[in-house]
Amino acid sequence: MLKIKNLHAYYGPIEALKGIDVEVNDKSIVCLIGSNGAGKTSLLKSISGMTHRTGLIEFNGENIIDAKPAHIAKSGILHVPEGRHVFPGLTVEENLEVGCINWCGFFGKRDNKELFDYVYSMFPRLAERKDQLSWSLSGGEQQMLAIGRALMGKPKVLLLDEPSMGLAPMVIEELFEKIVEINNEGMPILMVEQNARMALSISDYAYVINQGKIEIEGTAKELMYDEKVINAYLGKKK
Amino acid sequence: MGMYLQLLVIGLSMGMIYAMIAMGIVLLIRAVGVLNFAQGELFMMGAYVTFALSVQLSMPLWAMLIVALIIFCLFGALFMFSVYWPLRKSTWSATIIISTLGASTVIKEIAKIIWGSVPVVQPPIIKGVLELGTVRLEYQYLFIIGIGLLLIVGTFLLFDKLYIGRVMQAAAQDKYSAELLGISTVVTTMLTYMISASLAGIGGWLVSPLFLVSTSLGSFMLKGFAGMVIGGLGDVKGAVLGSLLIGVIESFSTLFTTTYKDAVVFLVLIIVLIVRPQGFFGQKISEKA
Repeated sequence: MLKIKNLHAYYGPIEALKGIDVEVNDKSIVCLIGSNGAGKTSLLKSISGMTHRTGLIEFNGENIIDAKPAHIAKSGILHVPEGRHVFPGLTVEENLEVGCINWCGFFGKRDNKELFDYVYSMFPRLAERKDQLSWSLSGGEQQMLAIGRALMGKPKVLLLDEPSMGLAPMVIEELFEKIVEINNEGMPILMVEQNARMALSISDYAYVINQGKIEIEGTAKELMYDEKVINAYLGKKK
Repeated sequence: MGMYLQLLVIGLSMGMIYAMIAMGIVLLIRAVGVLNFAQGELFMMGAYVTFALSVQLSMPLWAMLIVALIIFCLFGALFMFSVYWPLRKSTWSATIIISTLGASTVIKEIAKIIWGSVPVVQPPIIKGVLELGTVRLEYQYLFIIGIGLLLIVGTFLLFDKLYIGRVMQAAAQDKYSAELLGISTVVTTMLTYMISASLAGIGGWLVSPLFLVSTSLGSFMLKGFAGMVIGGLGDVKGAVLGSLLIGVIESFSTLFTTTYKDAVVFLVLIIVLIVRPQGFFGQKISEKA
């Protein structure tokens, strides 16, 4: 459903992506692994329209390479940014409500009761804290809020950028269970993760990205036992 | 006793004017992070535009208000696209502040070219004086308090209760993730500029019958600025309450001195800055990563 061909992305004179081919199929979890500065985040930003880019990004048959971020969000690609970026001065509930913007418009009817129920049942902790200002939440709760906020936008594919960043191992475990749960309901997910072992364990397919190019790709299982991947990104198992 | 009531009403009405200026400044600080030094000139333009419409073109009040509001909104948008937008990605954060300083001079000079440097007179919006025993209150002051209250409460409700206001707040707090969710931050920023310019413009209209309409009306911004700092920089409620306080202090200081009433206001500002640098209502929102 999401097909990327020969994607180049630029920050001013710097070429961050040098011809990337990536594909995300219905209902699958695809992860991108790679070291810092390899271009993982740039790829997600390019898909959501936040970089200067050329090539082909086809989403459900439409080429969105020249589309504006608002149009891309409206067509169903929702990007949960690295570092969560919740709206600090709004309550949890208001954050979620703002998540509806791409389909309800500034004055549109907000028929969002079902979505609220869905997000609150997925993340009961958010329901408990719905009137709290979001800057006061813990890191894990903020990540849940960021994902929940994206779910309010009726996504057809979720882009998750480093969901585990800065979280305690137990919280990461819980979060990844939720990601799998969301995926099991049919949501395709493209995920960027530093924690490669964890990411591969829940993914169907994976790409290793290095210096703006795809270095290795394969099913998550293949990559888990790939000599090069183990040496560079997973570390030796004890 | 009557005199005190009179001073209080005058103080509150001037405070409302300062509050409308301060509120506009705070909304812009929150939306784009820039202190707008041309807010006083937008205020002055409000006085000139309404003078032109109601006196020079002799429009009836209702038509004048509608046309003036449209002009204020256009001003806001024009201001944003000329003074803020081209410079928004500048790496030096003072760039836009300097550009607003430049804009304030440009607007002042344009007003001088169009209306000349001789002050003009705006007739009162509402004539007459309310007499209660020894108390004499011009209706104009009461009118200012009423309209000011209406606009300030209206702006609060817009941002706090309406969905569009919440979206604007969200865009002000985090442009990046607002864009990712599909909010067009150009639109939300432009709306903020329009609201800010309208608040200033209507303030200029309200105050113009009490003073002469001239380019020196821009200096009202200093009082609004003082009110904003006393209230706590960046807090809308604080800016309103601080401005009202400034208005009342200024008005009561005329009991002792009329020549130095501005000095009294700024003395209070300095004392507040020494005793409570974060302002009365300033809160430190802790940013959690």
